[in-house]
Amino acid sequence: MSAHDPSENGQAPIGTWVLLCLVALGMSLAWLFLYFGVFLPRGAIT
Amino acid sequence: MHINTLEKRWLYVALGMILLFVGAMFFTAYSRNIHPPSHVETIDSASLHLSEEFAEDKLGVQPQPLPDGSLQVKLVAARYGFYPRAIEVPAGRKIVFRLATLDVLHGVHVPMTNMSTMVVPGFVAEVTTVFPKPGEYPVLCNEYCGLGHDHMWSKLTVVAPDTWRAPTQTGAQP
Repeated sequence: MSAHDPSENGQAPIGTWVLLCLVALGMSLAWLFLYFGVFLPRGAIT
Repeated sequence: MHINTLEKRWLYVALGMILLFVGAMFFTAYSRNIHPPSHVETIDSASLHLSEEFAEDKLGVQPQPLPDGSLQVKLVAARYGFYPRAIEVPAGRKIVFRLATLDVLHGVHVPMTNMSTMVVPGFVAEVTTVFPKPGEYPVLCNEYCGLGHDHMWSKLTVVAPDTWRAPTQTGAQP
């Protein structure tokens, strides 16, 4: 990694950080909806 | 080892998501007492029709519920159908399926529910589930078992608990 990389001195591009947060939040909400809202209500098998 | 700050953030976020998902699964498995099916019981597939349990007149929903109140359903999978061809069970009640195959490997799948298992020759498959919503569901084979595999299905009717009547004897449904 180059010494001129802005993320090395705490200047990570804000757009990348926002994108990461949006994707992570969206994926987590979608997963939780599918697990608690779709999968479990269909009746687990044991 | 040097890791870029931005990469570290992505790693932490991905790790946090994995912990959230696995934690949700552990929490519900513990709080709802969900275990993976682990029943091991052998049976002679070639003589199912002579067996005490899977003879033709013993199949279907059993008239007597189990001690914990759950209903027991016995099914035989054979090329190319599930027997009996139609069963009726109440919604919201624990159903214990016991399945055996007369010939080759079959799968049992009820779409729009989580009911699904393999039926391996020589073994009795036992799974417990609950059907929350009344309706008509197909019971499909999801393991390729021969040329008639895509015609192998039967019908499961889930009715509201107050309209369901227990069969007076096996084979009395539908």
